[in-house]
Amino acid sequence: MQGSDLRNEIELDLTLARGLNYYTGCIFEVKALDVQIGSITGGGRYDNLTGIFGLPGLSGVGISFGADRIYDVLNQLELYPAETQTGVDLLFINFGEAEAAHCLRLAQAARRAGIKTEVYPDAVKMKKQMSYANVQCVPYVALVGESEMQEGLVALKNMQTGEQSKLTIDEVVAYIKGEQ
Amino acid sequence: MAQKPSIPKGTRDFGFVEMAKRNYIFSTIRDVYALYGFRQIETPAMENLSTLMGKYGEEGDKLLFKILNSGDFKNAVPTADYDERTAAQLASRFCEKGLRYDLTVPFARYVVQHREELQMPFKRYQIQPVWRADRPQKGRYREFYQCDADVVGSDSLLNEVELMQIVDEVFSRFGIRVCIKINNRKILTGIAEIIGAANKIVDITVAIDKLDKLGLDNVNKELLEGGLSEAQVEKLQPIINLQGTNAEKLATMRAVLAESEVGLKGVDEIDFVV
Repeated sequence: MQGSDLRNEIELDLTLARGLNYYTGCIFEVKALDVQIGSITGGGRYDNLTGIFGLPGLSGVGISFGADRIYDVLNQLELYPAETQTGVDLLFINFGEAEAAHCLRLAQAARRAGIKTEVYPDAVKMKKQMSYANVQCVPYVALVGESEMQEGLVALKNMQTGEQSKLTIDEVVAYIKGEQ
Repeated sequence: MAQKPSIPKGTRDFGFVEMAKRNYIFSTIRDVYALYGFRQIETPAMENLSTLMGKYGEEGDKLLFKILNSGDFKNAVPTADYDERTAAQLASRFCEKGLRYDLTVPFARYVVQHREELQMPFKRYQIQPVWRADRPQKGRYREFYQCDADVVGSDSLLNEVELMQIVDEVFSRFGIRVCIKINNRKILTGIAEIIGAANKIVDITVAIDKLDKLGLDNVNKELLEGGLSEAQVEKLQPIINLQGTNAEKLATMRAVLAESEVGLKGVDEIDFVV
């Protein structure tokens, strides 16, 4: 139809005969051009869907996206956006009871600004906490020990570059948001 | 000994990496459906078996997951009946409910049950899992999601046009290049009508589909072997050889189907949508 302005091609294909008994008008099927896989979406018009439940004469038309096949196609073509592959943005290292209580407040501030944030729940060895951050691919780690608490600052470590800088929590938020 | 943990055959766990990807797929489809005015509904995982039985053909009935009645279901059926009845008959006495097999039949049930509250045309979408007692194979699961959108209560072909736009928008957002194949049941009926072979329409479409693989001569041979006459196969030639742009194909079909009212209606409908 003029004005429908599609980016993908529609092709009349007489061999398309899905659900012959069910459909009464147009029938559609979608094929991926760059991956060998069956139909990834289909549908059509049916004229008597509700007749069997006592409401005849109601025409309908519908489509159904095949989520499992679309999943495979997106995997094969590596088309998933980066944000579907990231977890938490910021992890606070736990240095003990007093520090953790302070970090919980800072973490709340970061979360309210929309940054996915975790506070490590146990005051275990630093090495173990850093290894957790590495395996989880957390991009930023916040180290708030006794001196940072007194200064009102956060030592923020960029896990990719290894760089570390002392910032206020507002600066941390602005910095991470700027990087995203 | 501790039991080895497992899940039923044909079902899957989705870890957080997979779920992030799956949610991206579902939310993209959901956003586009909503953008075109479709409203989301959900229906229960279980339906009354009477709603489901007989809607998917005999094979489909066998693939329904049935839910055993609660309580003393066994005493509801006299033991004497056990031997005389088939498993299917006994199942219908022991089970009143089943898991949904698709989203279309529950939707039809929903529309009829709520017809007083619904304003037509009604555009709904539904993204929920369905269950089929199929033999599990590669790429075939016993539990999987469907993502359906339907418009009921409107004959207008604008609905078809909008569905094509939805398909186009969803796959553009995914970055997947696709071809949308379209056909019309009325064209197929028309073809059967003009060659006088209503029961052969599936064979004909299957044969045409093999044109690239087998070549014209072999396709014609297959049709003759399938029970069509020389004259019928002759009449099918412009259809088997159908080529060119959609406009050119439609012009050919219009000429071939000139004698079939329903066939021409199918051509008009496609003409409107593409």
